[in-house]
Order: sequence, then structure tokens, then C-alpha cells
Amino acid sequence: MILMIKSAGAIILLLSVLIQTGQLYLNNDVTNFGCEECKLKENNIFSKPGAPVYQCMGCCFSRAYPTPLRSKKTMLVPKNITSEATCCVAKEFKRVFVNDVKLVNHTDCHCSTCYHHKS
Amino acid sequence: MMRVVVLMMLVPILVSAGSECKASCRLANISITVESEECRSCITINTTSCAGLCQTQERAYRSPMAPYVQNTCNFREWTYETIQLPGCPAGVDSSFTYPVALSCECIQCNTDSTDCGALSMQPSSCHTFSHY
Repeated sequence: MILMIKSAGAIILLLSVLIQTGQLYLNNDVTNFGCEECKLKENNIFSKPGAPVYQCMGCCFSRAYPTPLRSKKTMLVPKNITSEATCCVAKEFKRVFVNDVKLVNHTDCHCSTCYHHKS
Repeated sequence: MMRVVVLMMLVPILVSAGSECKASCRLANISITVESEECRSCITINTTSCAGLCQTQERAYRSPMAPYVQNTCNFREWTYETIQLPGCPAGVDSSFTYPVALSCECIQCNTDSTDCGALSMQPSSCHTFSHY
């Protein structure tokens, strides 16, 4: 009897977990699953009550493909792969000082040119 | 039975954690044009490349000590395939070898193998030479 109650409880738990997992998938945008758009996020380290500091964070599109033959011939150092990328950066910002530390408080974001993506 | 239930209870936690970290940079089927002035030919080939979204950020504070890295969608593993261009005169190399992506990843762009640049309008058709 006790075993039956335990088994029933376990099955109910299992079903609720499966339903919860299913809802997690349904509530997310499938095309951008797990990748939030590029937007302002509060910087919790430098933000103070009444004086929030924001920085741009999120996902942007990039791609890599075989370098076309025509493009390869114009390269000083020919590369077999071409990468084109955009990165989440500030569109508008203000320079501020917080505790004598020079910061950049972002006010608008967009996906634009990457400057720190090369290794 | 209880072990299975406990393991299953971990699934939503793992899924939500994975979904926050997971980006959609993945393999993509594309068509690329191969034009050769010497061979006076242009052909279109279907191959596999990488495309998608990657998480990046611009920090409010730029520490001179901490590295600032932007990861973009690039080839992680690839192989090479070779095709023969038609109509090439004698003495002209008619082969074109190109990389085919096997897997993709949001990583720094490796300048040893890759020409790293900004997004552009990629031409997709043979416009200068006709295929004979």
C-alpha cells in the first residue's frame, strides 16, 4: 500500500516536471532559442540607487563561409574562410564617473561592427 | 524509481541553464559562386557553412587587465573539397578547393585561416561570365 502511494507520488512528480519542461520550450521564441536580443542591461557592479549604469549585451548575427575565388584573388594574404560579423555595441552613450572610475553608460544598443573579435 | 524522478527533476534546471548559454550559431546550407576569369566560367555550388547568433557585450568599464573578447559564429571543424572548373584553357589550374564546415561555434575569429570582417551583401549569382 505504502509502495503504491510512493509510486503514484513519483509518477505525479515526473509528469509535473515533464509539463514544466514542455512549457519552457513553448514559451521561448524557437528561432532565437536561448539567445536574447541585443539590449541594455543594468551593470550591477557600478549601478547605485537612483544612478543606474547600463551596458549593451545580447545576441547578434554573424556567419562564416568559403571565400569566393574572386575575393581570394584580391586578398594580400589569401584566406580560405570569410567571416562576417556584427556585435552588440552601444549606439549612444554618456561618459560618467562612479567612485572616481571612468565609465561608459550606454543609452542605446545595436548590432554593429565588431572590433574585438579577432584572435 | 525515485532516482529516475530526481534525475528528471534536474531536467528543467539543465534546460534553462543551457538555454541561457546556448546560441543559434549552427551549420547552414548555402550556395556559393565560383567565378574564374581565366576559365571564363562561373558555377554555383552547394556547401555547408556557419551562421547564426552569438552572445556579445560591450562593457561599461574597460579594464586594461581583463581581456575584451567578442565571439562570433565561425567554423570549428572543417574539411576540404575540390571541384573542377569547366572551360579552362591548357596550362590554367582548373581546380578550386574550398572548406566545408563540419561544426560551428561562437569563438574568436582566427585570422590565420579566416578573413574577419563586417557584414556585407554577399553576391549570390554568376553575373559576369556565363557557364559554358
